[in-house]
Amino acid sequence: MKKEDFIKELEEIFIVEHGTLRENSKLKDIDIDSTSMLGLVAYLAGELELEVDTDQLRKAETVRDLIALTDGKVQ
Amino acid sequence: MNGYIKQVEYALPERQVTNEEIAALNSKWTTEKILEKTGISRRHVADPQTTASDLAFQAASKIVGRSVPPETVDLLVFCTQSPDYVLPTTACILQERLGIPTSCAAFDFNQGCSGYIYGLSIVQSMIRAGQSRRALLLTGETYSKWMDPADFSVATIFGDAGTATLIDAEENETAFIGPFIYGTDGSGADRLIVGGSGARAMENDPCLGRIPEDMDKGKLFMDGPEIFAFTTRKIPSTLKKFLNENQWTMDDFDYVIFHQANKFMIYSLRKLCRITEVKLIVDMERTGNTVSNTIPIILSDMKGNHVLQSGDRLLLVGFGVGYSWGACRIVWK
Repeated sequence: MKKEDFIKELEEIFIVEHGTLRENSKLKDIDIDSTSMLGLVAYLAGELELEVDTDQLRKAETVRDLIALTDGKVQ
Repeated sequence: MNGYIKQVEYALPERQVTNEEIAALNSKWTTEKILEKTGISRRHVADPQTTASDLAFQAASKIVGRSVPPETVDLLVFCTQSPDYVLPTTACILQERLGIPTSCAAFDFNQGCSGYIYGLSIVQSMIRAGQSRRALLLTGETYSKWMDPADFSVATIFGDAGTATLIDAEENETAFIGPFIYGTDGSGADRLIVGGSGARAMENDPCLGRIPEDMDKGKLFMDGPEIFAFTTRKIPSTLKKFLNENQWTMDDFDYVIFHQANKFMIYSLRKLCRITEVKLIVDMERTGNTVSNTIPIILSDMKGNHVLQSGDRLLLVGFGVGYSWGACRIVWK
């Protein structure tokens, strides 16, 4: 999957306007509640078929960090 | 001797909490967002005087004393994590309320979302052992009593309910209930927990270490994302093993009923387990996640809507708090 498409998916999951997120966007600047986090896990596990480590996920500070957790499935 | 499910009934509290009510508690949320994120539009919540056993009693009363004389029931099993008391056993109270004879065996067991699978296994085992000919498997849950209504991670998801399943024995070699597969991983005990709800004091309880500082540690805490991740890690491999052990494929089932945790989880599992859309039953919009009640509620609705037909093969899958998970096959008689 291309990074641009992944970022669009993140915008859907976090319910932010399209074009808001960049690779260097800081996750703390987005209002990510537990349900949005759940949506992210659902996407990573269900769509990308990744084994998700939520402790690692919570340590992610930027969109780039999230991409790094996708085991090369997002490039 | 084998058991089969003869009747399934359920009861819901009168009071319903809508997404509008929940959204009114937090300006960041809208009714649409709650529905989109959870797949739930309302959930039933017990009033302060109503317990899980009251709901199970209401459900059982649709069977016992109507189509079934109470004196014919010889086993009563009650699955709950919201017992009336630490002691006595709530099943004993239900035996008396339902007018079931004192010669009956009655006990509670504490399981959550895997509870219905465990209950079917317990009853089927006792029937096969010749210890029961007619059993009532009851489930009842009122998580609302442990919830902070302002904690959206749980208030949007959980609803209260009670169910009753009548299981009769029959001289038949065909197994209508089973086989089963189980799983347990207590390392996840702190991911869905009510602190201070048992004998362990809350002070310095390591199991409560994940709860945020600003949350009441005596309320229901759920780490939804991690429970989701655990489910997607464990359930597909468990079902694959279950199918392989029995030389089945998903084509050997007419319906698959997952515990109705939330919309995301069910659809992710469907994809990961390669289940066709027509086989997957989803029914949580008007009741929410009612813990051990979700699977029997669906069975009752399928029967009531004439969806279930004799000979239908169903795969039932429960998972959650514990962590605990289990699956079984049933054949509708």
